[in-house]
Amino acid sequence: MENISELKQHLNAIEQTRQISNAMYLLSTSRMKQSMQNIDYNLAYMRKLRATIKDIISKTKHNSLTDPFMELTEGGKALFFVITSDKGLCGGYNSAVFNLAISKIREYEKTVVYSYGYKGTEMFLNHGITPDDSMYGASQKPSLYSARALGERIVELYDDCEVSEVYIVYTEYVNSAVQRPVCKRVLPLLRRDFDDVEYENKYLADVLYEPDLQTVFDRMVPQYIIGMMYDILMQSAASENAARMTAMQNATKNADEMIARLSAQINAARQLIITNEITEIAAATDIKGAV
Amino acid sequence: MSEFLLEIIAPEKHFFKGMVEQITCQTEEGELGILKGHQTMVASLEIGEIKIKTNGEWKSAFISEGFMEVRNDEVIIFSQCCEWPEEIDGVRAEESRRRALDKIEHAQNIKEHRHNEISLARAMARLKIKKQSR
Repeated sequence: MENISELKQHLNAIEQTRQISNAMYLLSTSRMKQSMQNIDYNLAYMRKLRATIKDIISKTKHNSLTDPFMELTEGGKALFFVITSDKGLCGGYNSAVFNLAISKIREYEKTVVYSYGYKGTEMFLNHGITPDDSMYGASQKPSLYSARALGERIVELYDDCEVSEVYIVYTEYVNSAVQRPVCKRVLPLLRRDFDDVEYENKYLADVLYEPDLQTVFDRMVPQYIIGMMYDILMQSAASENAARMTAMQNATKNADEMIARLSAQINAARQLIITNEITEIAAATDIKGAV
Repeated sequence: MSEFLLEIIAPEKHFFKGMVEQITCQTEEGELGILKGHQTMVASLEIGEIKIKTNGEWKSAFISEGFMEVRNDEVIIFSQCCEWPEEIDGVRAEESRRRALDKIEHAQNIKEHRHNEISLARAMARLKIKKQSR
């Protein structure tokens, strides 16, 4: 026979865990919705920005626009920015990003690895890779401020020729059930990156650039990168919360099942005790009656 | 006066969308006014003030660095950050102005200097617009 107080303790513990996982489920649902709204705003911004950039680069002949951001230099270092979460309990979110990052990093000879997120840094260290830099904190509340800091940092590294390619490994938010780890090239920008942009502008001739084409373009690129970083951080945050939402939903469901099973066990044990007691009493009265 | 469509978009929000009569903004070469039927143009904008005229009334707002696409009957402005005077946090702007000034004084290298100069420009522009609206 199982010990009732032990079972009760177990039940209590599970009930408490269920409360936590349920609260986390609700929290991550609302956070996900918040990030999704921001993604929509930013996408509209990015779509128009891309259309304008495409407009400029399609008008200029190859190489007449001299921009260091558009040149692919071979043999330089590749920078990998890996975005993971700071906290766990989000299912396979972190390991999916990490596995993709590792496989991409192995393709390059000279790499610089920046880890953004506590969990990613931990996994890199476990694999014997020490990230060249690690940062925390942005995945909780991605803001334009952190996107700008990140974007400026990338542009600076690229400008100083420390790195010749910049990749970001993050999780793309497809919908609340599907999140996909992707590796995206941020720099250099290549003409073919803009191939998929639909043409909005029909007026190809007679556009005035103020002060001139080169200046406008030089200003546009950093803004584009900051916008891209913002999108990436937002998508990661939405994915993280979506992954956590699913994980916590499952955890809550499992807890419910365990609670049902344990309550049944406790009831059965209690009934057994009562039955035994009745049998004992009945036996005792029988003996008393016989005497 | 004939109107045209103005859209101001930032990564965090859609700041403005509506019919306007005239706008004035700061470019590298000075103030630039736009009316309906302006030549198609792409201009980069400085950190500063943007003035919008709707229904005969001028409104001004803070605008961070960005650029502007002008078409015949439509203007789209892309900016990192846009704020109406009532949205500007005066205390925060004053703080960041002081901080930027302090940092410029103690800047170790050109990069740091330039970086803080931009912060200073943002703070000054915010304060100026806030003050005007009072």
